[in-house]
Amino acid sequence: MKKGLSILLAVSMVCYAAQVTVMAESNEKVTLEFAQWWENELPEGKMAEIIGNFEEQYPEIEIKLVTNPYSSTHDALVAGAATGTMSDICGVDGTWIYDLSNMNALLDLDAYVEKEDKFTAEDVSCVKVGGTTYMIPVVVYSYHMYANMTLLKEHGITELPGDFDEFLADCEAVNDPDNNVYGWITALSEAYPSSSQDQFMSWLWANQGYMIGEDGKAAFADDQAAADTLSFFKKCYDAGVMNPGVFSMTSSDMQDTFANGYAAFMLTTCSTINTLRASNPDLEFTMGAVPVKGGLEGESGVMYAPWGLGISANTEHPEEAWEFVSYLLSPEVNTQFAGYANAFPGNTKSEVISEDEAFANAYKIVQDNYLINEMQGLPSAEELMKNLTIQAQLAITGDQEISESLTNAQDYWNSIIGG
Amino acid sequence: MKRRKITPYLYLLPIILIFCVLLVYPIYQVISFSVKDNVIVNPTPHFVGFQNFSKIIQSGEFWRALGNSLEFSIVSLFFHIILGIAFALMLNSDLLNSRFRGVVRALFIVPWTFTVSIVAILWRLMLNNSGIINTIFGLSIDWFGSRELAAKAVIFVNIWCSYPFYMISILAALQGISHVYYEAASIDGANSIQKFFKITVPHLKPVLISLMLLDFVWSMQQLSLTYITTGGGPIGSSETVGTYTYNLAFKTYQFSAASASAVIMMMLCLVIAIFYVRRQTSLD
Repeated sequence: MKKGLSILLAVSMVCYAAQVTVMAESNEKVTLEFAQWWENELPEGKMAEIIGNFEEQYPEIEIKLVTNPYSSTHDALVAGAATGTMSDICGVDGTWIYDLSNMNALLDLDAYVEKEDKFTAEDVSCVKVGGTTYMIPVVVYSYHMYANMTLLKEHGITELPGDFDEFLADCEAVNDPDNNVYGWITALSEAYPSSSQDQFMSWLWANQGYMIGEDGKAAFADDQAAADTLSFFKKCYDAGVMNPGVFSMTSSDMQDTFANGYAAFMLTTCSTINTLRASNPDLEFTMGAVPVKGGLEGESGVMYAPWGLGISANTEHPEEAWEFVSYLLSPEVNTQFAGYANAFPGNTKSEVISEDEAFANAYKIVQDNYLINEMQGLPSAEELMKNLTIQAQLAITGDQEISESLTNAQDYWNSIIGG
Repeated sequence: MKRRKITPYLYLLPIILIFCVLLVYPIYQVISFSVKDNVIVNPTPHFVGFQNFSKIIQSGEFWRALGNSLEFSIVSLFFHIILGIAFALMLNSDLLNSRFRGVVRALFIVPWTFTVSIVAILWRLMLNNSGIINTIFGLSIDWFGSRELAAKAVIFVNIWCSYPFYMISILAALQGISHVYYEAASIDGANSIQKFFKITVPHLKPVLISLMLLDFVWSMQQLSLTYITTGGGPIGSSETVGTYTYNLAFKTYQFSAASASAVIMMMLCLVIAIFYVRRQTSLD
């Protein structure tokens, strides 16, 4: 009897506590979880500042930041999509969109864009799959060749190389393996999933090459720019001007090595400006165009990568989530955000502002050429990039002919893309 | 009377519930996924029997990964035993005075206290081409970037971070061996090596077998260390079944095939686990 009464009392207390919690939650703010990798790549405190300004303007909405490295953010989104626990708002890369949309993980944004009053569909880039918008880039980064001017000037080099031969010559001039200084720090590594896109395709696009043909199938095996680029990579590897860790490096390893002055050239996104300035304020560096094959004329493709926003299909607060998305894409806030990030704003009505001299060089290069990234919206994009990385490794080490590597990669790509 | 029969199970109920939620249900889900055409990305998956298992077994990449996992587990196990016994004997001997012994024991355990991610990042930095290892020894070796060395480097890191588990377990077993046996052996004229093989090893055998079975299962399932250090590369030379399964799920979105791979590994580990349980039962 006593035991029964005790159990009844305990159950009653639990029910009461649950009811109180529900009542309390209904009077509180709406809390939205925002998963991204951006916070660590922005100057310290800037993300919190933008979030704080938003919460001031929308006091009924609270944003809870979930910050992880880029690859961890992707894995978390996939896991969340599989279990229905994805964050309300997600920072997404264009290479993830196809697969996330296939998993029905993202909300259709077309209706929201249509009724938006802060911007129109023409002002922003709506990234679509199957005609439906799932992602809108907040900012866009371009990829450029960083040059350690301190190191280059020590060897009498003051002008950035324009073509393959000049690039190799400059690398050889600064190369000092005994002191762990190498001309070119790059990575084609399985530990850096997007390395073949960032480090190889950026060269290919700069040389007016293409990965995907007009029929939507992979067509780079017969692309001269692909063969020339891979041959040049092999040439640099054989010349010993490529850092020894090329097959094991991650993006952060590259940046750390460059920041510490152990390499003359590094190709990466202009978001790295902030990282370099913070880790080594004394480093004198600039950004230039990716070198092209001698004699090539005309505009070059400049690789870009977006920081995009998507909304979870499972969110309980889609309207509030869209308020945050539209806030970040509003012209004034977008200008501010892009300025902090040293990137180009996703809203074309925003201004490009950055006080950094290196970014000004990048902006000029983009204005003189065209932005390109064929990986956006491809299925299993990371797996495609990994396969190309492995084939490139085989070619560069001489274990396989260049043409065989490109053909193997193209065949694999088409088995995934559906060619 | 009836209440007395039910009462023990009521006490066990919370742990049984946790067991079901955290173990039974996920295993059921993975097995269920493995016999369907692609789940998660396919809103209407259908039963396909052993099609996914057949695909995995016919995959050369799977067998390469399995080979790498077996090499990883067996080599790690061998050196874990050697180092574990060596350090445990040292800590159990009179070579160290009691005050110093405590400090040394704490230092030897340190590698085991780090999480796998910290260990991986630490050794990535140390084995970097410009890292401290190459600098101290005057080398220029790309440890994690060489096809010949990447897997071996990962095995070395695994040995380093896991030997303390063996050391502590063996040390506890050594301290349970009565000195009477060693004294008697001394009287009979046995030397140190004879005492080790005739007294120490037989007494350690039950503990060693248990440790080996557990270590084998844990090593076969290893993912984090390989993924963070090499990603399974270069050119798949350090790919294990863990990274292979992970990539199937999160890079190619073949969740059913990944589930089939996971079930195959579970069956392999289950065989080992059955031996372990039977052994523990026979000891009791």
